[in-house]
Amino acid sequence: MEKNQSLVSRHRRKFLAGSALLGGGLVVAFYAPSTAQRILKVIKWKMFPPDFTANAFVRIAPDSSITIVVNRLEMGQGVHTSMSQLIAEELACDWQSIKAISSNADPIYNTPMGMVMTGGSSSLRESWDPYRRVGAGMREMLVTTAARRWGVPEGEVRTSNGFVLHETKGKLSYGKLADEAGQLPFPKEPKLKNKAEFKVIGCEQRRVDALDKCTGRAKFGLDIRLPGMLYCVVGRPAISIAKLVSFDEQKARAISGVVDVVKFGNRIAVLAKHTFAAKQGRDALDAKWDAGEFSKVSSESLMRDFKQLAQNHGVVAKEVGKVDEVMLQAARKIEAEFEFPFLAHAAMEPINCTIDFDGNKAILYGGFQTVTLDHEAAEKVLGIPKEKIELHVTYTGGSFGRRASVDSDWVSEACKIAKIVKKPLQVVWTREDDMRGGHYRPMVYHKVVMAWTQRTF
Amino acid sequence: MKLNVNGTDFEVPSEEEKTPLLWVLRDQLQQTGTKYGCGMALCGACTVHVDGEAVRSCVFPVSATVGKSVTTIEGLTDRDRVANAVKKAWIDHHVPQCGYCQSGQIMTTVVLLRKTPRPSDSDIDTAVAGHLCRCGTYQRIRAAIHQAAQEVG
Repeated sequence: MEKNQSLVSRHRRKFLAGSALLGGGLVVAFYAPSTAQRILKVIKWKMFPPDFTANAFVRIAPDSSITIVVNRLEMGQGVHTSMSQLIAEELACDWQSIKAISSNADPIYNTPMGMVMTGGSSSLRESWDPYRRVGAGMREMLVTTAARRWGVPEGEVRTSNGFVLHETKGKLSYGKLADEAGQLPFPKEPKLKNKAEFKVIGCEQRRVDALDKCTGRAKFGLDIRLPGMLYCVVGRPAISIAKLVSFDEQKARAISGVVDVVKFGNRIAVLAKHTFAAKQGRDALDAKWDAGEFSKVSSESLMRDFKQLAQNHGVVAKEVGKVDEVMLQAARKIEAEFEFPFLAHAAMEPINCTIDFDGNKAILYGGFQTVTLDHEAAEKVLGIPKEKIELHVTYTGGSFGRRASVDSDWVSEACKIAKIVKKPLQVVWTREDDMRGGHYRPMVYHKVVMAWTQRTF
Repeated sequence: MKLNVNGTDFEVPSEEEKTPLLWVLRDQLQQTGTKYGCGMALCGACTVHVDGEAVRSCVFPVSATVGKSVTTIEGLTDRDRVANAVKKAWIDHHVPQCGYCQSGQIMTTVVLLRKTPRPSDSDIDTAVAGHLCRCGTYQRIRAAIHQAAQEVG
């Protein structure tokens, strides 16, 4: 237990020293390997590594406003609200006082996947116990602080709606207790509520992001505006591995508002004072690529290849009985083919990435779904230590898988341009770019043969 | 070129006359509540008001707004009863999910309710049919519009 405590303290110190996400007040890190093991046992998922950790942070400011750091991307699925509910339930705070923000790539925010990422419909399931524990632990710290200040036993005080209450001593807001409570160690075994006592979980709550999303105040990746920022639209080949043969830089530069044209690898970045100029500049490039042997490849040709391949026996996943014999004797047979095309994920907010790189340090802004991998991708391209790269996770207009690209293609690309330009820039994928240049959902072809030896229906 | 956005005058260089209003709003005036979705007036995310009419700013040349007043989602003030009722209904019905399309949905709804204070389901469908929502919030939008209509009275 003592070991757990020291981990809490260490993480807390590290957090207080290193993170710009939260200000002062009561800030709690939670790190609970025992919880992790229990969760592993409960949900029986064997895919998690044994060093499962679950971390998150809450800040109670002097004015009692509460900021919850959610280690997942809010992309419409509601994690900023649902994960806040877990903490609010146990913390007994005022729901209206809650604000949620997304975490950065600090390993303290790692999920059971061993990185900061969102996926697999796992957010709430994995956070259920750890996030409640952080709320419960903080509530106990506030109770202890108030009881000490009043000189009354802890058993005589209760909490409600952001206040600690005592029959004769009156009430103290969480904000007034936060700084002092923050000096206490995090409780070793915070007591969680019984399901029957739930007032927040499972009950209708206003979405924490609703007002900002109804007033235009919510900041999506494309809404980041940095001083002196250039807008960038990229010329990409239709087939990603194609070699750039030629392009007309002057035509792009002739567009009013275009500031720079930069070749990087087999792509061309057009930078301008606004997005429309950058798009016009890119469209004027008249770029030619050579896809070599792949120029003959198309969705149609690939589907033909798939169908051809399906004629082969393939790899046997499981065989029970004598399938070939049964097929020959079949009284009835059904054969069916299923074709599933390549699909663009087509999120409402086209892919985009904003980066401010001065040659020594970098800040990236965007709807990062695989934050840790995106951080590593930036490190690899920029060639500076990870500690000098900060990722700010914004709201994002949907993902449907596209923003969790395993090779962080759209993040690496922005870094490649920033490395050359060394000015704040926003790479905007036009709708057409997003539809044509994404990593698609893979195409699939299935051929099924089913047979019965007797007519049973 | 003088542009009036949310009651304030802005000067836009004349060489930008063909630039769509959307990019002047977002990139030059930093009013980012109006969203870019398609650039072809197909999705509705960029909808703003020009002299009280809902227009798709991604295909609306900025020069066409000279002498007119532009209102964006940021310009729907608390004094605006219809806009307030719409925003409240949106929150009550948990309409926004990712929220990216909602500025446009709200801007069109405000115009609908100003012209048709008690819209039928089919009035609503006609008005907002051209607004895409990838989260699929359409049923909630319809319910929210009915609530807002009732609230305005």
